[in-house]
Amino acid sequence: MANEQETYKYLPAKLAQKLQVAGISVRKPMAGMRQSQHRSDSLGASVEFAEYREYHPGDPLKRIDWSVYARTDRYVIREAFKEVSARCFVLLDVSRSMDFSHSGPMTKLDYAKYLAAAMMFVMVNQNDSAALITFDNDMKEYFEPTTTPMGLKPALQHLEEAEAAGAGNIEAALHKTAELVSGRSFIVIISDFLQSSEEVLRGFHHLHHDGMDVTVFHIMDPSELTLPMSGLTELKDMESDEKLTVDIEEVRDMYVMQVNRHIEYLQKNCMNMQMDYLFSDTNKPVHELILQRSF
Amino acid sequence: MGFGFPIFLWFLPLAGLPVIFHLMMRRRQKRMEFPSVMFFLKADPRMHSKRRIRELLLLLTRILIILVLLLTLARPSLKSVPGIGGQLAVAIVVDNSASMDGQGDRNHTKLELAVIAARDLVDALGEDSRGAIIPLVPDKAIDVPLELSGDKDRLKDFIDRVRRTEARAEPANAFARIRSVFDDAPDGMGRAVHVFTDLHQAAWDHAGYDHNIFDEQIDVVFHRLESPERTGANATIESIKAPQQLMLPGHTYDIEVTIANNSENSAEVRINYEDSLGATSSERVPLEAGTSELMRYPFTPDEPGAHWMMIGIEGDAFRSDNRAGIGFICKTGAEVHFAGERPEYGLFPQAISPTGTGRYTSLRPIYKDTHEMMNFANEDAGRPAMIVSTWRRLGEFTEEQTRTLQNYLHDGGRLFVVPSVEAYTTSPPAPPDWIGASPLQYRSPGELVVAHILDSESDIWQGLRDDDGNVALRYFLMDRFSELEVDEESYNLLAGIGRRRPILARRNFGEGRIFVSGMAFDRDWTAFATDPSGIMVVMLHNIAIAGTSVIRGPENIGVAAGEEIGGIAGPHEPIRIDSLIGDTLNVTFPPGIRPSVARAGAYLLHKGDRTYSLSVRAAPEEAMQKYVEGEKLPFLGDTPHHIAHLSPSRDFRRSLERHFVGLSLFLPLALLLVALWALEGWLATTHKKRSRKIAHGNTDLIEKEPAAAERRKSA
Repeated sequence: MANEQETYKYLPAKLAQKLQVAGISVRKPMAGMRQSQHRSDSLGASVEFAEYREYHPGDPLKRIDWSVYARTDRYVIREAFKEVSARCFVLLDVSRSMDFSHSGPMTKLDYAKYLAAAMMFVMVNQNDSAALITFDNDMKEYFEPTTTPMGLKPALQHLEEAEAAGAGNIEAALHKTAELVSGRSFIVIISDFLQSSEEVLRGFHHLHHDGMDVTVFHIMDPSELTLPMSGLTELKDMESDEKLTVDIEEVRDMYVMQVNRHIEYLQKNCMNMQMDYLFSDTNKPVHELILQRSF
Repeated sequence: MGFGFPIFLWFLPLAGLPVIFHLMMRRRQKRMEFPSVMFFLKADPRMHSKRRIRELLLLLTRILIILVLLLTLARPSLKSVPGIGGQLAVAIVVDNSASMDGQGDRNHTKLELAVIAARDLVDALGEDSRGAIIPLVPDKAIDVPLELSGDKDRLKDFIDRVRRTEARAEPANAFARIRSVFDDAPDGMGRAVHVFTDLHQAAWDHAGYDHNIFDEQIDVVFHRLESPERTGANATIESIKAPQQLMLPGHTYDIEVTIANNSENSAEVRINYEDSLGATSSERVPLEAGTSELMRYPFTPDEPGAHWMMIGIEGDAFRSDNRAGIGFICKTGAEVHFAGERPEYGLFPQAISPTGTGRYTSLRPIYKDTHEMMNFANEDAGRPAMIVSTWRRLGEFTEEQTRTLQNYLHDGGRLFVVPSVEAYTTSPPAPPDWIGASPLQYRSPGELVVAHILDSESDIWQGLRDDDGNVALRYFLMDRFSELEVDEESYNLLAGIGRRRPILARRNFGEGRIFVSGMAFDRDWTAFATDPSGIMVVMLHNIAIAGTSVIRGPENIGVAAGEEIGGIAGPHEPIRIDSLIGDTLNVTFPPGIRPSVARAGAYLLHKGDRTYSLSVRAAPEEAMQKYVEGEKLPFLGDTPHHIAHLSPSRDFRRSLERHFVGLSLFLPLALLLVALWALEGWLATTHKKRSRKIAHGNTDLIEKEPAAAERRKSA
């Protein structure tokens, strides 16, 4: 597998090596088909205690909890949660705004691709399944969940070909994802979230309502945070083509304030919905961000 | 508004530089793609328009900074003249008219105060300024050149030369000289006019200009000298007149002088007389308030040439209207041309000149054949004092002779038409129609017929009046005569048997006179001719020389001091004035300049080959105590000017300093410049300071969003 990994641009061996120690756990019960390490709502064989129930004739005798019988003189069966695998859907924003790099080492899209590849690798590596969905204002590409590294190949190859284009609509993409994904799954959203925070949150609510475990990776170029440019500049919106002439020094503080509010708002609401929210600029190494989610 | 360094105003177009830079910066502004502009618009939906407004404000502020900076460097002042440090051409006008001889304060006349103030003004001039001293009344008796000078000592010397005159000021003349001075001033030099005057009504209270005298903005300041009320009586010489007639040696002429008391107090003044013959007299004359006195001074020139007479008044409260002079040119002699032979005129020629040579009377009879008459053309030298003709010979004149005769009369000549002594034997011939008179049938009734004097006011009776002015001759007797038929509208009847039967009559013909007689002046015709009292001699002399001059045009010009002498006939030639008595003058005025004389006296005025006597009296209106009140002078019309009270010397110096410094706008403009600079700095950098620190990673400055910053820092 290591040899094969060398061939993927966004999953280099060095990164895969660092991710060997990473493990992703989910907060909510999953609805996986295979036995694995994630708790599910159904009961089964595992070490994680769920409940005691009365013995019914026909139950295997070996399941009677004799220690309880010794204390209470009752036959009870010890039940445990079933541990299943998780289905991870990585949603990658490939809208036009992601193709931006000013202060960072790479574009947001490149960074997001590394992150998506890493997430899929880690999930598959821990016997979960991973799928890839790219979107801008709609779902663009969908790669079925796979549990093997070989199965990731189409998705990883697609990452190398995918280009940023079109205006983004995160809310619409999330609604579509919620309709597509059945059962409780692990949703990873990687985007710059350059959309009204209320609209984004409507999409989050849909996923939350469907019982999805959601992790949000908010990616921005460092320059988007501090506007290190200077002088009179005509800015052209990469998605809407709207132009705005500003004196950077003049508007910087107001801009930064608005960006921070946006981030703060998303973070706060993600916490309210028990979603993991991780913010990063493109300077941060991808494996560190993954490890941040791991622990 | 004046400027100390107006050169900086040339740089005002530099104020357009910010606009150019602005446009250049717009062209050079960066363009970049940015993920989203939503945060900018979220921060301020009107950011774009606000930025444009601030940009325009910044541009405007920068333009204003350059403008105000240049204006500040130009050292503006609110005065219309440049302040200290600027160049200024100042016309300093000192009113030297007669009224300025009045008392100004206890110890000085107004003119003396004006001189002191003018010297102060010269001292107050800036180092780069220049001045010109302009006496309000042109005074050729003092040497004050019409020039701009930066030498203060020289200017003060000119001021000290200004003396009182007896003239009325002609401000138009002074302002013409001011313009001439300013025309010579270098370009770029400021201009100002300072007039030290009492603003006498005679000079200033009449419409002079109805437009701005100057093409440019010039500071015109009148420093008014106050005129304390004069209490004493004032007498003035209203007029001095010599008889308008040919002046000949040996003849006596009455010079009439009118002395008036135009004050409200009675006066007793002394009248002093002096003439060119060395005669002097002095007499006390009482004058009631508001009355005048006519005084006659007989004058008998003893020889040909220029003669003069000066009259002066002593003992009144104002001295600058107390003198008058009169001059006259006494001819060597004059001819009386008789048409025909001497016997035709009886005793007439003998009455004109007993010796026949002109001795004693300066009139010399000349007898000419009819065809030789009128050959003097238009030359003054050959023109006779009078032409005498008989009725018959008058009809024998050719057309050309008649035309010459008419021209001679038009120019002031005299024609006397009488019957020939022998005429009673023939019927009187019909004279030419243009004469307007003709004799009827000669009569010799055998008894004496009385002819009465019909016009006792005529000047032919001059010298024949008693002390009451009545003509001593009331009638005369005639043996022979011819009544005259005259055009009653044109002829004045001098004597006759009755008003309907005239014997002697006169009419004016142009400037000249025509006398017609129905009586010959001989013993066979009238006893009047042999009257031992010499009445006929006097009358005929008066007819020959009284009234108008035989020389074309007036010979004696009378003006008030300061009055421009105009109406002198002749070609475009310079005029020279020499003094007989009065200011010592020998000055030539170029052609086109109307001369004037500043003081009373008698002068000779030469133009071409003609010489006139010029009689100058003090300007009587200057004695009136009437001055222009208010803040505007009618004379100046729309010319901006300012009237300031001339304060005592020390205060005046201070006010001059304030005037020349003006209200400097340097400090206010400098403060405005600082304020603009601060505004520009605020507009340009207020938002940038915080932004720059944020750009360098110090996001703690974003006070409202500490949590996000903290979180990212920890991340």
